[in-house]
Amino acid sequence: MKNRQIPVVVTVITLAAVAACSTASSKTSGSSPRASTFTVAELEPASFVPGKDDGIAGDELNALFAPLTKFDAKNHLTYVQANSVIPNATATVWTITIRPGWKFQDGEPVTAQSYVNAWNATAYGPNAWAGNGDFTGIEGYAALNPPSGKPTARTLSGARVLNATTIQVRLTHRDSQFPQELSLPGFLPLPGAYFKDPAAWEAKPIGDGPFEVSGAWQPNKSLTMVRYAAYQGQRPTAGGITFEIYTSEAAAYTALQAGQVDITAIGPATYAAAERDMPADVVAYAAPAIDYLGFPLYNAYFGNKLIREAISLAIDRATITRVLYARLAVPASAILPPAEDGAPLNVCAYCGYDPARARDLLARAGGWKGPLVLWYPTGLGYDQAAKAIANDLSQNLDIKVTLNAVPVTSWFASLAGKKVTNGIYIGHWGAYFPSMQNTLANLFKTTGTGYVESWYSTPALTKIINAGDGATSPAVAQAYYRQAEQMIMAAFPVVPLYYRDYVYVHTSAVTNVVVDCNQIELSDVAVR
Amino acid sequence: MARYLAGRLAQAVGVVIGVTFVIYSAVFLLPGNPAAALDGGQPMSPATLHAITVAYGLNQPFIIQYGRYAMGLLQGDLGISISTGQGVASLIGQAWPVTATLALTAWAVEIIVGVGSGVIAAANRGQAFDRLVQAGSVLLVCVPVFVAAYTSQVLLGIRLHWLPVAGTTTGWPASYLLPASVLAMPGIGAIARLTRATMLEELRQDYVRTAVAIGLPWQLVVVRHTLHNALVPVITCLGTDLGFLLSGAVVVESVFNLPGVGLLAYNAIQNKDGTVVVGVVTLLVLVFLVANLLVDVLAAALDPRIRYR
Repeated sequence: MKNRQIPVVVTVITLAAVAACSTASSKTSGSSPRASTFTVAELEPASFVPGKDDGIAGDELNALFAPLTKFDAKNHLTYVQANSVIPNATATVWTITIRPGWKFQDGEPVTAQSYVNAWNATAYGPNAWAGNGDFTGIEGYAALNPPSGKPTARTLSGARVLNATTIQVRLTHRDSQFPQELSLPGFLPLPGAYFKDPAAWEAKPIGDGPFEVSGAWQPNKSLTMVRYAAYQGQRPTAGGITFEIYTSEAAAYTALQAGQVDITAIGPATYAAAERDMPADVVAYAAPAIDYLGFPLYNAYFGNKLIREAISLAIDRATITRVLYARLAVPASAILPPAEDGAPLNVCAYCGYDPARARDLLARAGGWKGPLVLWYPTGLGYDQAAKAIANDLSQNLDIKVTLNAVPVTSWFASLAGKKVTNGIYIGHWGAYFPSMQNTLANLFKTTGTGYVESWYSTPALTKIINAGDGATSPAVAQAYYRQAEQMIMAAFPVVPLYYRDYVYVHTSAVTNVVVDCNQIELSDVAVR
Repeated sequence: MARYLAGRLAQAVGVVIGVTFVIYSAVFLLPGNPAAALDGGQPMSPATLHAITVAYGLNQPFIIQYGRYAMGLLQGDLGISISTGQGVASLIGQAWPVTATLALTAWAVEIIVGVGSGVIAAANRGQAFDRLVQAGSVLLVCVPVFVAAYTSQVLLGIRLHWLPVAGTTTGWPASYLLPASVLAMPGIGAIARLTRATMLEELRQDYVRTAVAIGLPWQLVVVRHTLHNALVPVITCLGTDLGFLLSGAVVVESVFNLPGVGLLAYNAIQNKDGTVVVGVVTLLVLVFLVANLLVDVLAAALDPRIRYR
């Protein structure tokens, strides 16, 4: 029976072979020389067509395209492709001139027509592009998006090409913030190559921005770009970027720690770990976004302002932002985030933490019987915050609070359908561009897409917001918007919670990582 | 045998048609409008929502939606994903190779390590290696997948830099070794124990004693005679396991950023992306049917007493 040991030897050899195999392959991973290129982790985008973007492909679009206007790191508007954007006396007709001599990466000149072609395609209802809503304010939008039946037109009557470098846009309402709106991806141009063969363009997108695609787009894997030599704007510091597709920010963060990725966005679940592991490499941008508590104002009980004030004073915002968000969120002191140009701070009289006063206010309002239900959407990272808020309310107001998590697919339908009757809900508005108007008009005008998230608007308030929209001077417009905010805070229809940052981490292989409302300033990133 | 195979395949067609209907109605019954989830956490402008709802026929009654889907399916068109706008066939085409590579690698690890250690343990019953296998297999079965996944990432990826921790860019085998080993862990434990048990039973048989008595070398007795007979239950177990591995592993795929069918199905269910869910699930049912069929055929080949008519 001496030979019994032989099979053990065989296995040891097999395992050794596997181990050898793994060490051999490790040479290709880890830190290989990458010239002056860097890697950014991204979620899988639906498309690189700007009009189809649903907010996922922001970084890729910033690399691939040059916008007409753009907000800088201080949230001030700057012009990139646009030379000037000039309103008429009523801010309803805008004349955009673009800089001549710019070319798409296939050599086609960028003209006024390149822009208008892209806008028409995005605004055309049956195309069902995600950016369609960006064009609601332009004349002729209704003809392209009838409530039923076929559209009566193919092009926006309000967007006219005057000559190769001039576009005239007619709006349905006065809008002083139109130049700001032009920074949205929906307003980027498309080359003729897209309309000739959309599938070929999607496989290898062609833009007019600082980086051009090298090689083909590999879905679910990566998109590699190199510096576009003929770019007329700011020359990028790095030679190229590889966007690698990750299925979650958690996976991307692990890959970053292993040196596989240079820059990634992270979510609240990773904040504390990142601040502990690499505090010097966490980059946060105070975003124009507000988390708040909304109320069913159509319910007489919640129509009582005392109730809303009591709930607001019972929430310990400082602890929540410190513990759950590792100080990468700021307790709110107004409904408009400070990132929005000219937004006032400290206009909220009930945003402090005062449990005794909260109990007193609740008692004066008649108390609360039965469980209070806190509604929130799933899959957007609110679970911990909802628990914390429910805890604060039940402890400080001595009431029973239960949670109701709603799938994101039916969340807005639940709000719009007035399904919330027995409690309150977590609301959020991330402004598409850092202007006070974006938050005000969307949440507090009956025509805003977020109106069903606040249920608050009055004719007087709408008049003030509209006055801001009609002002041709930015300072006058801002003064009106600040007045609107004062009115909202006096009525206190929603409870501001906190402003959450956009949070990114990077490895020490890259420097000068600036994050602002455009996400990462890719042209500024330098490779060590 | 041929008639048996034809019968099994005919069954499969019926199962697939039934599955598409059941899954499609299940997804339809989920609350919410898939188009509403497109803009992340923000509400979509009503006009855009309407345009997308109409474009994908989401405002039609269930039976019309299913009818259109089934008609497309008969012409080989798996439909279009609402959340990505890509064809379902191309989505599956991208995800499938990842899952197949991961599953087959994990399966190979299971066979080599599981069967190998089981056989050696049985042949060296009661010795140190046998005890190690017995204890180790319990541990492998017990450790939760995500614990093993994160631990191996930190140890082998972040600390030692031996293996990539995410994605498929390094290619096979480096990109797949870590996730496949983690995925195979419970299987290794189960297979090792099963192999050891059936081997021990076979080693007690008279023919083994006879073979040893007439002077055949021990490893020949173990490998050629005993292993062959002991493998039938192990093959059955491995076959079912392959079907399970090929159906995608949501946890392993998401921790190691492998965009396979498990993640595809999971995300599609989250977004109520019906056509994707039906396409993926139907494919997985087919995989299970084929894997089971293969197991039955293989069992017959190994054991002459098993015959199908």
